[in-house]
Amino acid sequence: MPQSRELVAASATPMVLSILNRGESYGYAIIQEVRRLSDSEIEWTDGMLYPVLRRLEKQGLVRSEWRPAETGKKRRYYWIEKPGRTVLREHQRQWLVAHRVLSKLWEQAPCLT
Amino acid sequence: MFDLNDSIRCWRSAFSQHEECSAEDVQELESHLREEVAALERSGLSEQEAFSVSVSRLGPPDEVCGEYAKADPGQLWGHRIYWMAAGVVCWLSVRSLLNALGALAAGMTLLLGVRHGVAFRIAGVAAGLCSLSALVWCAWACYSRGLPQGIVSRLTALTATRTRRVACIVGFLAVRMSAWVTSLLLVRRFRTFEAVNAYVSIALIRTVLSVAFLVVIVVFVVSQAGRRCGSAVPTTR
Repeated sequence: MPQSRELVAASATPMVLSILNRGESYGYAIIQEVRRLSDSEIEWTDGMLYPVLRRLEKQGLVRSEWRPAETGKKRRYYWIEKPGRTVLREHQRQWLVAHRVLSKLWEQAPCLT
Repeated sequence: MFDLNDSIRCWRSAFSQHEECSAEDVQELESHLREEVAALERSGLSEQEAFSVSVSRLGPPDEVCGEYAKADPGQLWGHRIYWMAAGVVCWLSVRSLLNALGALAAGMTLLLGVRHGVAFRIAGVAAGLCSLSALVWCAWACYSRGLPQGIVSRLTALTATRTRRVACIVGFLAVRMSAWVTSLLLVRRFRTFEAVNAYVSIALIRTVLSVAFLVVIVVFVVSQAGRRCGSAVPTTR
């Protein structure tokens, strides 16, 4: 069963901020990293990442600049800002709470098979 | 014969038609598309197959641009207000042209010493309307057939950035204001035949500059319309 749209949409921001928290990156590399970490289970519609990055930049959580790439063309690089790290910590807290509750529920649920 | 740059140009024009996506956004998406195509070619796909897969992975232009609009509604409205301002400048240019031709008719009336210059005024207005029709026909011909690329690229560069476009509009309004103030002062101060001459000369200068700005705006509109595309571009996943 593919990932639900709501789950993909909700997890996009914390995933992007987490990847940028490790170090600056660019759109194509971010998508490849998500594919690699999820063993291709999470396949974003590539074009949807860029509006997310635009929204994060407008909120001041990340910044970007155009730089020449090794291919000779220009590439837009993004990096996380201090407000972005604060928002990321809050996302981490909320996701870990949800994970803890679900883990307890599924351990306690009777076996259905 | 598949041509990657031609196909990417067609794909870009589908995005350029959406006002929610800025030129920078489309540039970023194109950069992504080219990297994806290169990666898929390295994995064994042909250039055409790699392009088709990359385009479908990026998603349909309507959906992507819809997401951009949700992410930054302010930019969309900025773009719309810019076009409204450009429309006002266009109207002011056309009005200047008609005013200048009317002033020319009035000037000629006085030069020839004709007391009732109705015939000349009508001729001036008719000339103005013919000029307006010719301009509209030129704009339509440019839109449907396109201008030579050299002219389009040079004039598009003039309005490429927001700063340059604002500079064009401010410059145009400054010229209009200064010409109007100068002619008003001259006529009030001298009230002579020479003043009428000066008024007509200034009106002609205003006409030339107004037409020049009008051409710039028309070419800008044409450049935004995009070129016709030969091959169909897959948009569904």
